[in-house]
Amino acid sequence: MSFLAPLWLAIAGVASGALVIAHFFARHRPRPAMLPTARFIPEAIARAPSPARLPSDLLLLLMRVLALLAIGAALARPVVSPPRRRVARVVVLDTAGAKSASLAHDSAVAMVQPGDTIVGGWEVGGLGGWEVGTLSGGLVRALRAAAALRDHADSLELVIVSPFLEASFDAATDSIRRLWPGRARLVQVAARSASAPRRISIVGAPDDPIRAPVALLGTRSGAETRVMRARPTAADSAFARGGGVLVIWPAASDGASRTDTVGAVAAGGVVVVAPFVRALRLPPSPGRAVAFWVDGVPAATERSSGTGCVRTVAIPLPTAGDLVLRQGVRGLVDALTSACGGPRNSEPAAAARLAMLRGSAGLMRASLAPAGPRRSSASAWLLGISALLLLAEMLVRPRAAS
Amino acid sequence: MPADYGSLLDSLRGVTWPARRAALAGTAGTHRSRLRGLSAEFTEYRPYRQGDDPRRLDWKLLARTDRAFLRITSDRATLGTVLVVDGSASMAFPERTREKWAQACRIAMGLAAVAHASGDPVGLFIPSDGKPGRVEARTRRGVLAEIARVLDGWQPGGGAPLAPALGLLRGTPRIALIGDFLGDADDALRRGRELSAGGTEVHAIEIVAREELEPPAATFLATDPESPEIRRPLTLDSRDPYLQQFAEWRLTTARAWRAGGATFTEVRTDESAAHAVRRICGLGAGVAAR
Repeated sequence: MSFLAPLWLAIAGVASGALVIAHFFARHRPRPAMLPTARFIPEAIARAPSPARLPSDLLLLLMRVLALLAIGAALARPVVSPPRRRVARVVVLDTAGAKSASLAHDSAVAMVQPGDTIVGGWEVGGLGGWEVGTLSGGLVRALRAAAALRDHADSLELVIVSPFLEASFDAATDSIRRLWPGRARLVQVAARSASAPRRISIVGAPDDPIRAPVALLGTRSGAETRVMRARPTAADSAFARGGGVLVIWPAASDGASRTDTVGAVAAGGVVVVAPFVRALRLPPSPGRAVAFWVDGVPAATERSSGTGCVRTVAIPLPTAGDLVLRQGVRGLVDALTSACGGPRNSEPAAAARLAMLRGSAGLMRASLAPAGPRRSSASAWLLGISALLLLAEMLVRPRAAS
Repeated sequence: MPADYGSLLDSLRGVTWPARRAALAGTAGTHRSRLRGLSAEFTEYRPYRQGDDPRRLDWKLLARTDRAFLRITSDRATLGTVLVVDGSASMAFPERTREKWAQACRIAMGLAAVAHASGDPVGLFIPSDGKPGRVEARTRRGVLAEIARVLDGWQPGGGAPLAPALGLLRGTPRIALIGDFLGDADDALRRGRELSAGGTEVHAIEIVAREELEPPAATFLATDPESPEIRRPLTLDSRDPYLQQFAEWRLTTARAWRAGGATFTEVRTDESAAHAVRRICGLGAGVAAR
């Protein structure tokens, strides 16, 4: 057992010693004795200090000392050090872009032993059946897990189970990886094959402005993405639950009481700069934002529905002008009508990225792991015990005084 | 009679307790009486005046000198004495030895013996919340043993006042009040003054325990046995004020009794009872001489 703040224990010990000394010199009612001339003694409080060879009120003293020590021990936050192993593993499971999430999970489970930790990147940006996100989230969680395993092992090994696609990396991945001062074992799982461009069907007016960029995207033969420019029906919801991508993209204003203009919108790496009138309003949705206005306000969200997804877009397309004919709007429409989870780059990661991820040093010493917040479960119990002791002391004190 | 009384009485053999002033006429005794004329103890001659009893003429002197003189003689009378002993709880101090009560008993027995030896009737009165201890004043031989028996059988306790007892003894020629005067001191003093004014010879004898004058140095919670609500800590700090207040009170009490016409004698428990009795008797003689 060790203490996270041992100074409190020392303070409690000193206070207990002072308390014991005080009980030697405690003011107490002196022994009564008969004296017929007592009336000539000046009136005073019938208690007087008198040193003694033994401390007075042993029961009270015991309760007080125990309460003090319990408070000190609680503030010192005792923790029980677990037995240490030589090596503990932190397995980062990234199933985003994997051909089979269950197979990837099995691969990760095969790598762990009792006491090891699996962290999954899908938990960072999980969305129903589609795993999204990059290795960055998993690496951050691995660092946190390393802090938790700091006292359980001498060395920590990082294992990354991932298809290792280009989409698995983002700008922060390298920086986060460098925070782990040790090598990593890379376990590659099969990647999902790149999906064909989805066929876009539009439910709307013949002269709807969205038809222009869709037409410019060309004819596609993949799975269907249904763009609803009107209110969706039950059949549309069933379509989404059946695995389709349903894009609810209202054509007209929803009558929002307050409208303003905004200069740009971004989605799927495409940025369109234009004076958009923000007349549509996104309904409250549990999904994730897939498009943002330039001021950070979500412009489109996506939520899972059955095996498909429903994407709600609040980007008004002008009926006049040539904005819808621009390439940016074309890319915007392509991103918003892509498969669930958004467009992904399914290209395998470059060898240099993998080398960076693997590292070259040995295993990370556990002591180098960041020290995470440690909790002492015994503190609450000790505080409770001290409270009970103080309560008992309050009950016993009047009897001792009398 | 207990053995310690026996040694005390032996040491007091021959001691007299003369009256402070001339006694009223009564049974022939040892005290100077206000009545003059019939006894054989010659005092003086006085010229005959018309109306004097011719039987008191000194006929031989008339025959020799042809002058008529009366032969004046002094009478002697007895002095009834009642010993009032405070038997309250405060006299049972210290708790272990009850030395105050024991000393009061010795003083009472000593005074009774001295008075009885002079032929005076001696009695005893112990005030009590219940039935008081009482021995009527008598001159017979067994009265001392009776007084000793009452004293020895008495258990000090309660807080019976002294003043009512003094009221019951109105008319007694001599009263010796033996106690610590910690009870109804003011009432007893007032009643004592009344008795003195009425011709009673009052002797106030205060019994003071050595432990009251020199209480233990250890700190303790002093409790008044007659007033349990009085509980005060006697510490090193309060010791000196206590001694000072107690001394002032004793001095004030003594002055008040003496101013009221009584004698006042302080007797400590560690003082020889015989010596104290001699002081009391001598003090009475001294005052009478003044």
